[in-house]
Amino acid sequence: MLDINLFKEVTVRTLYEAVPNNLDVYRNGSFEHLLADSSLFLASACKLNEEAALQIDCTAEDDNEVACCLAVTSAVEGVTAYLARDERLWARLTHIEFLNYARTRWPIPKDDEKAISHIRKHMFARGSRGVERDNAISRLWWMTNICSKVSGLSLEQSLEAFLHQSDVRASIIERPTTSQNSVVLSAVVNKLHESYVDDQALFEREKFRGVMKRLNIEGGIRLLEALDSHEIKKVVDKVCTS
Amino acid sequence: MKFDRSKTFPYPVLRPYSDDYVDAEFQALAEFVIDEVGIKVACSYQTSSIELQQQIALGFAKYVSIISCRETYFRTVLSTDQAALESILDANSLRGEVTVDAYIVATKDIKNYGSPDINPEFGKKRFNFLPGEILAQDETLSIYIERDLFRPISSVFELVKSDSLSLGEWRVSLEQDHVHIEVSSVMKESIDNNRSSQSVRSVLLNSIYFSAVVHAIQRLKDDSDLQEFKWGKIMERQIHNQHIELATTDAYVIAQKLMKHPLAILNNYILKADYA
Repeated sequence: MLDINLFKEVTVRTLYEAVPNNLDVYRNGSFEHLLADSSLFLASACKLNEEAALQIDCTAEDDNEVACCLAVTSAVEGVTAYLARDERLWARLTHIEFLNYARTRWPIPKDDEKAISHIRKHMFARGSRGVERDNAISRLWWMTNICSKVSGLSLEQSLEAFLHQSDVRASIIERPTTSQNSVVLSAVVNKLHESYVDDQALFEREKFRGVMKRLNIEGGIRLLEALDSHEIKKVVDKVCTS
Repeated sequence: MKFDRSKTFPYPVLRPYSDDYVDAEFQALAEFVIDEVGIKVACSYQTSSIELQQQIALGFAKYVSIISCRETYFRTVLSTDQAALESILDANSLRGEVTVDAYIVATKDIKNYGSPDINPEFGKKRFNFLPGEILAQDETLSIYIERDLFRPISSVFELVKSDSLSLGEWRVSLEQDHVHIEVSSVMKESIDNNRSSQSVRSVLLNSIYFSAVVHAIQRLKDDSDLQEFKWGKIMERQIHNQHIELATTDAYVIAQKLMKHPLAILNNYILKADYA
């Protein structure tokens, strides 16, 4: 197990500003030389399990998303939800340990201007969107964290259903009533998984949007959080079939 | 279900800014105490509606508080039939804005509910409620939780040397993440060498630090763009968490609260000692 020290704020800021000068390093090189300067880092409780980290891998043809999500929490241990909002952790990991994965999963454009914004999007983690959706590693952690709250399915099954369509995933994440409430989330992801192994009809853009819209209407009249899982399942069954 | 003053329900809901009830109130409070172990939250509820109190006493409804944190996808539902409850939350599960929404919610089918406080404009006098339907709701409360917010405000101030200043001069610079208090090299060395003394610290807190905090607050009042700096965000959120109105409260009063009344510290270490 390796200790993972966070980048200092000033380190992140300096790297962010220096992206235009470091394009070659992002494309072909490595930032491991930074490890020699301890003044760039802050201690943390995170550890890297190098064996598990090898599972976070993909190719140009296969993003291997479910397997990468399954590996991320064992590869990077000691990450709490509090720490997982911290850009200093994810910027360190995408620059040092997972730079190869990040540039394979999110190939850097040849055009320099496009490359600069692409790198800043996937190698740093600015704001909620940056942390949850854009950073090459933090997005894996957060999707896994959300799916780990689903009951009735294995983590792998939840991830399969959750990751199958980006539209569906975004619809869930954008609605805190669903994504933050584990009972509602479980009922919805279970329904998605039923559809995933069957005809996948629920993944049709308009159909799923309609389901979420009806669920919103139900949640506007009744406090779904106050219902038990049996009642919630009835509500979700109703909005999926109407 | 967030509080929305413009929302209407097909049944009477006791809420602020609503005239569903003509002469009744529901109020809820949530107080957070943060220490090394975790975050203790104490919720309390009050309603003047006898009929709602009866529904709770009969087991048909409960007080419910939903504590949510969008940044960490945390959400917990606390419910009780008592007027108060306490719970411990994991400090690692909350970060940034934490909201508390409080309700009285039907937990069983309620048939023929009525109250003389319900606005006669509803027309009918008796109502049925399904489990999960709300009988009362209070406004959303919010608090910011960051480890930096619970450190002394002086943690966002940094003493730096400036060779252009003479021995007794000092300046405040706000254009970076920490507030810089600039002093001459000789003064910085002198302060650094004596900082471990409680009495020196109490004097510093009541002199340059207090003045610097007042200055920073005043500038924050005048220019909200300063919240983009770390010190500005922390100061603004500490002010919010202490339920202080930044715009309408004098900077020196806010400074005393943020610094936990430094004059009392001076009294403990200097004034009392002089009288002894």
